[in-house]
Amino acid sequence: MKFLGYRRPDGSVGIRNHTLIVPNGRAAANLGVLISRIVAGTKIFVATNENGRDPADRATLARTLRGLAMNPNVGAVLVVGLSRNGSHEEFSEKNFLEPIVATGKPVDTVFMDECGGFDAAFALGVRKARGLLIAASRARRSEAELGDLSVSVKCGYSDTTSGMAGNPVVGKAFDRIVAAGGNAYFAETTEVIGAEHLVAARFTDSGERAKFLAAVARVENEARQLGQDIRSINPIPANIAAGLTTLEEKSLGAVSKSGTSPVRSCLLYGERPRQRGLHFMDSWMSSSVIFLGFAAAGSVLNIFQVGGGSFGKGYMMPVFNAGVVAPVLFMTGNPHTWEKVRDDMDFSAASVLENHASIHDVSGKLLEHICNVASGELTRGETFGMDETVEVFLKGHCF
Amino acid sequence: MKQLLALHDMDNVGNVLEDVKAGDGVCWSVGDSMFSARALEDIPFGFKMALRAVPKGEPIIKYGNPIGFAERDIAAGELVHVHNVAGGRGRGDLERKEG
Repeated sequence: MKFLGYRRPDGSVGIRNHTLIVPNGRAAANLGVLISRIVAGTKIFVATNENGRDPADRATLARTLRGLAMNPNVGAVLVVGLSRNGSHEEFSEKNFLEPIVATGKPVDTVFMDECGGFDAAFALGVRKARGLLIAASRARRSEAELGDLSVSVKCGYSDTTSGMAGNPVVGKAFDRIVAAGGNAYFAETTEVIGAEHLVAARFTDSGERAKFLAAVARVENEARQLGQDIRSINPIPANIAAGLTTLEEKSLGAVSKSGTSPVRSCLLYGERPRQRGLHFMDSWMSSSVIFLGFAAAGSVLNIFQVGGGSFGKGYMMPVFNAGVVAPVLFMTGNPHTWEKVRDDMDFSAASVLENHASIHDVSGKLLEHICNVASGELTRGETFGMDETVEVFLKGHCF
Repeated sequence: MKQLLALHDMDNVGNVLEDVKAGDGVCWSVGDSMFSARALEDIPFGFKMALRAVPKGEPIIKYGNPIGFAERDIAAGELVHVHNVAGGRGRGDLERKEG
């Protein structure tokens, strides 16, 4: 199976061709936003403030912003800042700018202290962003293989169809992408509790397995310290209303979205993997943070696998473009959900339950759809062209 | 007969694939063998039915793995959900009581 993608100088393959404006810290974000408003067609992500955060959270903010710039869906980058070295070590030229430049894609910079303040930086930034937009537009799609893809999945509004149909279909599709040499990501640390033994057994590196088990233990301990049954938090009410009874049941259904491939690494939020294959990302499950983290880690396409058993007719999806530079593809394995929210859904795996279609056959259809979207077909979410508010997953205290 | 999907041969619950009314016959397969039971109450699409009796305190098995414990005796054909099943993981509430 093949698709038409943008092959970048570092060998990665994008499925979209954005020009991204990247502030090297919150203090420069408004400069970036103003440039982005003038130069239509550029994208920008404004993260929360890094000041008063602990080093781990500052590193997460830097990793997320830098990772978006390095994403294969980004064809050109303008880094803006007060100064070349940002406000903290995590945003220094060496730690922040140089890895972006090393991708080989067109990258330019505007720093206020180097050009005499905001007015000059704004004028220069507009000029450079226009040039970068044209440079990015010179890229052409060319034939790429399934193994050139980097894809990610989150399951949401889970119900019992998620574990029976939708998630196993994604898992089988991911197995084929990974077997072809591709990257695949799954996450949601809370939602492996009760199924962690199945995932842990698939790790190929004992150090990475230990990181994974420690992450699961940390989340369960945090929940226990609240002195509550975790069922008061997860499964969420929408899951219970649709027939999911315990976190263990939700988790056992959820992990099937990862397929059966060996798991290569346990990544931090937004961390880029060092080798190709299947990766677990230690992250909060929210759709308003997770797709951003996947995109920062290099995913070019997010799959939101929806149960939706509790949906009313015509419900709206909670996110449309939460991956900022990586689109979200909505699918469901629930035949009722497919009927109720047809306008927001990109793919149905409901034939598994309706017509006893095999997981293998339906995963083949999903792969065909993935290749179409990877070649340029818009997702339903992309049609809104909306840059919604999304958040970076931070864990520490603010000071 | 209404359809139910049992995912693993060890499972003592399965998910009904259509809305089931009390008294309906429900059938499922495990490997090459077919089984059936009568639903004791209404079970909505996607919800779980007990495939055999589960005594209080015994694990509920789905995907071949425990998903929680019966909080009371559950009969074959009963709806299995939060009213008769407790989770086994992340139970900070139990630790507080014990502590």
